[in-house]
Amino acid sequence: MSIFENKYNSYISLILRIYIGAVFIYASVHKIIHPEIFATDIATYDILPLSLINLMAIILPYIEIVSGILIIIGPFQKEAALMISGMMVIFLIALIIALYKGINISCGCFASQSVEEDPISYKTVVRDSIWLLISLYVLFFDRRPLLFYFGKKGDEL
Amino acid sequence: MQGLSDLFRIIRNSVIITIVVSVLAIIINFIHPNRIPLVAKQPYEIYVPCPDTTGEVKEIDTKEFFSLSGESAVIDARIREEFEKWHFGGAVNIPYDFLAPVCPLKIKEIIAMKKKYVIVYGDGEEPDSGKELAKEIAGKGVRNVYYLRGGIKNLGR
Repeated sequence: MSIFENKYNSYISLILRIYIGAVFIYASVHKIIHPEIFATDIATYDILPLSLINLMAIILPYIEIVSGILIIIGPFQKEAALMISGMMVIFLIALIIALYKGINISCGCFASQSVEEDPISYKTVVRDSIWLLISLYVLFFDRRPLLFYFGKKGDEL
Repeated sequence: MQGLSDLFRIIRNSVIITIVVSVLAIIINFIHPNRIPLVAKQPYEIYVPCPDTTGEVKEIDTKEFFSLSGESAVIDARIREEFEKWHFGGAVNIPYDFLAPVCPLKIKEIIAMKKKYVIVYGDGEEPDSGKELAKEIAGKGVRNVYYLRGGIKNLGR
Protein backbone atom coordinates (compact mmCIF):
# COMPACT_ATOMS: atom_id res chain seq x y z
CA MET A 1 0.00 0.00 0.00
CA SER A 2 1.56 3.31 -1.04
CA ILE A 3 1.43 6.40 1.11
CA PHE A 4 -1.18 7.85 -1.28
CA GLU A 5 -3.52 4.92 -0.66
CA ASN A 6 -3.40 4.98 3.14
CA LYS A 7 -7.02 4.51 4.28
CA TYR A 8 -6.55 7.08 7.04
CA ASN A 9 -5.61 9.83 4.57
CA SER A 10 -9.25 10.76 3.97
CA TYR A 11 -9.94 11.14 7.69
CA ILE A 12 -6.75 13.12 8.38
CA SER A 13 -7.50 15.20 5.32
CA LEU A 14 -11.07 15.89 6.44
CA ILE A 15 -9.83 17.35 9.74
CA LEU A 16 -7.20 19.42 7.94
CA ARG A 17 -9.76 20.59 5.36
CA ILE A 18 -12.14 21.81 8.07
CA TYR A 19 -9.28 23.53 9.89
CA ILE A 20 -7.73 25.31 6.90
CA GLY A 21 -11.16 26.11 5.47
CA ALA A 22 -12.24 27.71 8.74
CA VAL A 23 -9.01 29.73 8.85
CA PHE A 24 -9.59 31.09 5.36
CA ILE A 25 -13.29 31.85 5.91
CA TYR A 26 -12.44 33.64 9.17
CA ALA A 27 -9.57 35.53 7.52
CA SER A 28 -11.78 36.75 4.69
CA VAL A 29 -14.74 38.15 6.64
CA HIS A 30 -13.15 41.35 7.93
CA LYS A 31 -11.47 41.97 4.57
CA ILE A 32 -14.80 41.62 2.74
CA ILE A 33 -16.54 44.02 5.13
CA HIS A 34 -13.70 46.57 5.09
CA PRO A 35 -11.87 46.42 1.74
CA GLU A 36 -10.53 49.95 2.34
CA ILE A 37 -8.64 48.78 5.46
CA PHE A 38 -7.35 45.68 3.69
CA ALA A 39 -6.13 47.87 0.82
CA THR A 40 -4.09 49.89 3.32
CA ASP A 41 -2.68 46.66 4.76
CA ILE A 42 -1.60 45.57 1.27
CA ALA A 43 -0.09 49.01 0.57
CA THR A 44 1.93 48.78 3.78
CA TYR A 45 3.85 45.81 2.40
CA ASP A 46 5.17 48.16 -0.31
CA ILE A 47 5.35 45.38 -2.90
CA LEU A 48 2.45 45.88 -5.35
CA PRO A 49 2.20 48.92 -7.64
CA LEU A 50 -0.51 51.40 -6.65
CA SER A 51 -2.63 50.42 -9.68
CA LEU A 52 -3.02 46.82 -8.40
CA ILE A 53 -3.55 47.41 -4.67
CA ASN A 54 -7.31 48.04 -4.76
CA LEU A 55 -7.96 45.26 -7.26
CA MET A 56 -6.14 42.83 -4.99
CA ALA A 57 -8.04 44.13 -1.94
CA ILE A 58 -11.37 43.59 -3.73
CA ILE A 59 -10.70 40.15 -5.25
CA LEU A 60 -8.50 38.31 -2.74
CA PRO A 61 -10.99 38.10 0.19
CA TYR A 62 -13.66 36.54 -2.08
CA ILE A 63 -11.16 33.98 -3.38
CA GLU A 64 -10.29 33.23 0.25
CA ILE A 65 -13.88 32.69 1.34
CA VAL A 66 -14.84 30.62 -1.73
CA SER A 67 -11.77 28.39 -1.44
CA GLY A 68 -12.40 28.07 2.32
CA ILE A 69 -15.98 26.93 1.74
CA LEU A 70 -15.09 24.62 -1.17
CA ILE A 71 -12.27 22.87 0.70
CA ILE A 72 -14.65 22.07 3.58
CA ILE A 73 -17.80 21.01 1.79
CA GLY A 74 -16.20 18.86 -0.87
CA PRO A 75 -16.91 19.74 -4.48
CA PHE A 76 -13.72 21.07 -6.02
CA GLN A 77 -11.88 20.55 -2.72
CA LYS A 78 -8.64 19.83 -4.61
CA GLU A 79 -9.09 22.96 -6.70
CA ALA A 80 -9.63 24.86 -3.44
CA ALA A 81 -6.48 23.26 -1.99
CA LEU A 82 -4.53 24.38 -5.06
CA MET A 83 -5.92 27.94 -4.76
CA ILE A 84 -5.05 28.06 -1.05
CA SER A 85 -1.56 26.74 -1.80
CA GLY A 86 -1.10 29.46 -4.41
CA MET A 87 -2.28 32.16 -1.98
CA MET A 88 -0.02 30.84 0.77
CA VAL A 89 2.99 30.96 -1.57
CA ILE A 90 2.14 34.60 -2.45
CA PHE A 91 1.65 35.51 1.24
CA LEU A 92 4.94 33.84 2.18
CA ILE A 93 6.85 35.70 -0.54
CA ALA A 94 5.30 39.01 0.62
CA LEU A 95 6.15 38.25 4.26
CA ILE A 96 9.75 37.29 3.52
CA ILE A 97 10.27 40.43 1.38
CA ALA A 98 8.80 42.63 4.16
CA LEU A 99 10.98 40.94 6.80
CA TYR A 100 14.05 41.27 4.56
CA LYS A 101 13.33 44.98 4.11
CA GLY A 102 12.91 45.28 7.90
CA ILE A 103 9.44 46.82 7.59
CA ASN A 104 7.79 46.85 11.02
CA ILE A 105 4.15 46.17 10.06
CA SER A 106 1.08 44.23 11.06
CA CYS A 107 0.51 40.91 9.28
CA GLY A 108 -2.91 41.99 7.95
CA CYS A 109 -3.78 38.29 7.77
CA PHE A 110 -7.01 38.54 9.78
CA ALA A 111 -8.97 41.48 11.18
CA SER A 112 -6.71 44.50 10.77
CA GLN A 113 -4.64 44.76 13.92
CA SER A 114 -1.95 47.14 15.07
CA VAL A 115 1.72 46.33 14.73
CA GLU A 116 1.92 45.76 18.49
CA GLU A 117 -0.92 43.18 18.40
CA ASP A 118 0.04 41.25 15.29
CA PRO A 119 3.55 42.07 14.05
CA ILE A 120 5.09 40.08 11.24
CA SER A 121 7.98 37.88 12.28
CA TYR A 122 9.60 34.59 11.39
CA LYS A 123 6.86 32.96 13.51
CA THR A 124 4.35 34.23 10.93
CA VAL A 125 6.46 32.62 8.19
CA VAL A 126 6.45 29.30 10.07
CA ARG A 127 2.66 29.48 10.63
CA ASP A 128 2.02 30.22 6.95
CA SER A 129 4.40 27.43 5.92
CA ILE A 130 2.38 24.97 8.03
CA TRP A 131 -0.83 26.14 6.33
CA LEU A 132 0.87 25.69 2.95
CA LEU A 133 1.84 22.12 3.89
CA ILE A 134 -1.75 21.40 5.02
CA SER A 135 -3.20 22.59 1.71
CA LEU A 136 -0.58 20.59 -0.23
CA TYR A 137 -1.49 17.50 1.85
CA VAL A 138 -5.14 17.90 0.86
CA LEU A 139 -4.13 18.44 -2.77
CA PHE A 140 -1.95 15.35 -3.07
CA PHE A 141 -3.11 12.91 -0.36
CA ASP A 142 -6.89 13.32 -0.23
CA ARG A 143 -7.53 10.40 -2.58
CA ARG A 144 -11.13 9.56 -1.68
CA PRO A 145 -12.53 12.71 -0.15
CA LEU A 146 -15.15 12.50 2.56
CA LEU A 147 -18.21 14.75 2.71
CA PHE A 148 -19.39 15.68 -0.76
CA TYR A 149 -17.41 14.44 -3.74
CA PHE A 150 -18.66 15.16 -7.22
CA GLY A 151 -15.93 13.41 -9.18
CA LYS A 152 -16.28 10.04 -10.85
CA LYS A 153 -14.78 6.93 -9.29
CA GLY A 154 -11.16 6.79 -10.43
CA ASP A 155 -11.00 10.54 -10.93
CA GLU A 156 -8.93 10.98 -7.80
CA LEU A 157 -5.51 12.51 -8.19
CA MET B 1 -0.78 9.68 -17.05
CA GLN B 2 -4.14 9.56 -15.28
CA GLY B 3 -2.66 11.55 -12.39
CA LEU B 4 -1.18 14.10 -14.77
CA SER B 5 -4.46 14.64 -16.62
CA ASP B 6 -6.24 15.01 -13.26
CA LEU B 7 -3.66 17.62 -12.24
CA PHE B 8 -4.32 19.56 -15.44
CA ARG B 9 -8.06 19.32 -14.78
CA ILE B 10 -7.58 20.67 -11.26
CA ILE B 11 -5.41 23.54 -12.51
CA ARG B 12 -7.95 24.36 -15.26
CA ASN B 13 -10.85 24.31 -12.80
CA SER B 14 -8.90 26.45 -10.32
CA VAL B 15 -8.25 29.07 -12.98
CA ILE B 16 -11.94 29.08 -13.98
CA ILE B 17 -13.10 29.38 -10.33
CA THR B 18 -10.59 32.19 -9.71
CA ILE B 19 -11.76 34.13 -12.78
CA VAL B 20 -15.47 33.69 -11.94
CA VAL B 21 -14.93 34.70 -8.29
CA SER B 22 -12.84 37.70 -9.35
CA VAL B 23 -15.56 38.96 -11.70
CA LEU B 24 -18.20 38.45 -8.98
CA ALA B 25 -16.00 40.26 -6.44
CA ILE B 26 -15.70 43.28 -8.74
CA ILE B 27 -19.48 43.30 -9.31
CA ILE B 28 -20.19 43.01 -5.56
CA ASN B 29 -17.73 45.85 -4.91
CA PHE B 30 -19.93 48.21 -6.96
CA ILE B 31 -22.86 47.69 -4.55
CA HIS B 32 -20.71 47.34 -1.42
CA PRO B 33 -21.35 50.06 1.22
CA ASN B 34 -17.57 50.37 1.73
CA ARG B 35 -16.71 50.08 -1.95
CA ILE B 36 -13.33 51.25 -3.15
CA PRO B 37 -12.31 52.30 -6.68
CA LEU B 38 -10.72 49.58 -8.79
CA VAL B 39 -7.57 51.68 -9.04
CA ALA B 40 -6.42 53.90 -6.18
CA LYS B 41 -6.28 57.54 -7.25
CA GLN B 42 -3.56 58.59 -4.81
CA PRO B 43 -0.94 56.71 -2.79
CA TYR B 44 -2.01 55.32 0.57
CA GLU B 45 -0.76 57.12 3.64
CA ILE B 46 1.11 54.45 5.52
CA TYR B 47 2.04 54.96 9.12
CA VAL B 48 4.84 52.65 10.14
CA PRO B 49 6.12 53.21 13.68
CA CYS B 50 9.77 54.13 13.98
CA PRO B 51 11.84 51.32 15.48
CA ASP B 52 12.84 51.90 19.09
CA THR B 53 16.47 53.04 18.99
CA THR B 54 17.02 53.02 22.72
CA GLY B 55 18.48 50.16 24.71
CA GLU B 56 18.57 48.89 28.28
CA VAL B 57 20.75 50.81 30.71
CA LYS B 58 21.51 50.47 34.41
CA GLU B 59 21.30 53.25 36.96
CA ILE B 60 24.28 53.60 39.33
CA ASP B 61 24.89 55.78 42.39
CA THR B 62 27.90 57.98 43.14
CA LYS B 63 29.76 55.24 45.02
CA GLU B 64 29.46 52.84 42.07
CA PHE B 65 30.41 55.67 39.72
CA PHE B 66 33.74 56.23 41.46
CA SER B 67 34.50 52.53 41.79
CA LEU B 68 33.83 51.85 38.09
CA SER B 69 35.14 55.07 36.55
CA GLY B 70 38.72 53.75 36.31
CA GLU B 71 37.74 51.06 33.83
CA SER B 72 34.98 53.03 32.10
CA ALA B 73 34.54 55.48 29.28
CA VAL B 74 32.96 58.41 31.12
CA ILE B 75 30.65 60.54 28.98
CA ASP B 76 29.39 64.01 29.91
CA ALA B 77 26.01 64.59 28.24
CA ARG B 78 25.71 68.30 29.12
CA ILE B 79 26.13 71.21 26.72
CA ARG B 80 29.67 72.27 25.79
CA GLU B 81 29.62 75.47 27.88
CA GLU B 82 28.74 73.52 31.03
CA PHE B 83 31.35 70.88 30.20
CA GLU B 84 34.05 73.51 29.81
CA LYS B 85 33.21 75.05 33.20
CA TRP B 86 33.83 71.73 34.95
CA HIS B 87 33.80 68.06 34.07
CA PHE B 88 34.85 64.81 35.65
CA GLY B 89 38.50 64.02 34.91
CA GLY B 90 38.89 62.08 31.65
CA ALA B 91 35.25 62.56 30.67
CA VAL B 92 34.38 63.01 27.00
CA ASN B 93 31.74 65.55 26.06
CA ILE B 94 28.87 64.32 23.87
CA PRO B 95 26.15 66.96 24.32
CA TYR B 96 22.76 65.27 24.27
CA ASP B 97 20.17 66.80 21.96
CA PHE B 98 16.62 65.65 22.66
CA LEU B 99 15.70 66.15 18.99
CA ALA B 100 18.78 64.96 17.08
CA PRO B 101 20.31 61.49 17.12
CA VAL B 102 23.85 60.94 18.35
CA CYS B 103 26.46 61.17 15.59
CA PRO B 104 27.62 57.64 14.61
CA LEU B 105 31.24 58.87 14.76
CA LYS B 106 30.80 59.59 18.48
CA ILE B 107 29.61 56.01 19.01
CA LYS B 108 32.70 54.77 17.16
CA GLU B 109 34.85 56.94 19.43
CA ILE B 110 33.27 55.35 22.52
CA ILE B 111 33.85 51.84 21.14
CA ALA B 112 37.46 52.77 20.20
CA MET B 113 38.18 53.60 23.88
CA LYS B 114 37.93 49.82 24.50
CA LYS B 115 36.73 50.25 28.08
CA LYS B 116 34.79 47.66 30.04
CA TYR B 117 31.91 50.02 30.86
CA VAL B 118 30.38 53.23 29.57
CA ILE B 119 29.12 55.62 32.24
CA VAL B 120 27.11 58.65 31.25
CA TYR B 121 26.24 61.58 33.46
CA GLY B 122 24.05 64.51 32.50
CA ASP B 123 22.43 67.56 34.05
CA GLY B 124 20.38 65.45 36.49
CA GLU B 125 17.23 67.31 35.52
CA GLU B 126 13.93 65.64 34.60
CA PRO B 127 14.31 64.24 31.98
CA ASP B 128 17.98 63.62 32.63
CA SER B 129 20.17 64.16 29.57
CA GLY B 130 22.62 61.55 30.94
CA LYS B 131 19.98 58.83 31.14
CA GLU B 132 18.62 59.65 27.69
CA LEU B 133 22.08 59.64 26.10
CA ALA B 134 22.92 56.35 27.84
CA LYS B 135 19.76 54.75 26.41
CA GLU B 136 20.61 55.99 22.94
CA ILE B 137 24.20 54.71 23.13
CA ALA B 138 22.91 51.31 24.33
CA GLY B 139 20.41 51.33 21.47
CA LYS B 140 23.31 51.55 19.02
CA GLY B 141 24.56 48.19 20.26
CA VAL B 142 27.07 49.32 22.92
CA ARG B 143 26.93 47.05 25.98
CA ASN B 144 27.42 47.72 29.71
CA VAL B 145 26.09 51.26 29.54
CA TYR B 146 25.33 52.91 32.91
CA TYR B 147 24.14 56.36 33.89
CA LEU B 148 24.70 58.26 37.11
CA ARG B 149 21.55 58.84 39.12
CA GLY B 150 21.11 62.59 39.70
CA GLY B 151 23.77 63.45 37.11
CA ILE B 152 26.33 66.15 37.79
CA LYS B 153 24.58 67.16 41.01
CA ASN B 154 25.66 63.88 42.61
CA LEU B 155 29.28 64.61 41.71
CA GLY B 156 29.21 67.54 44.10
CA ARG B 157 28.58 70.20 41.46
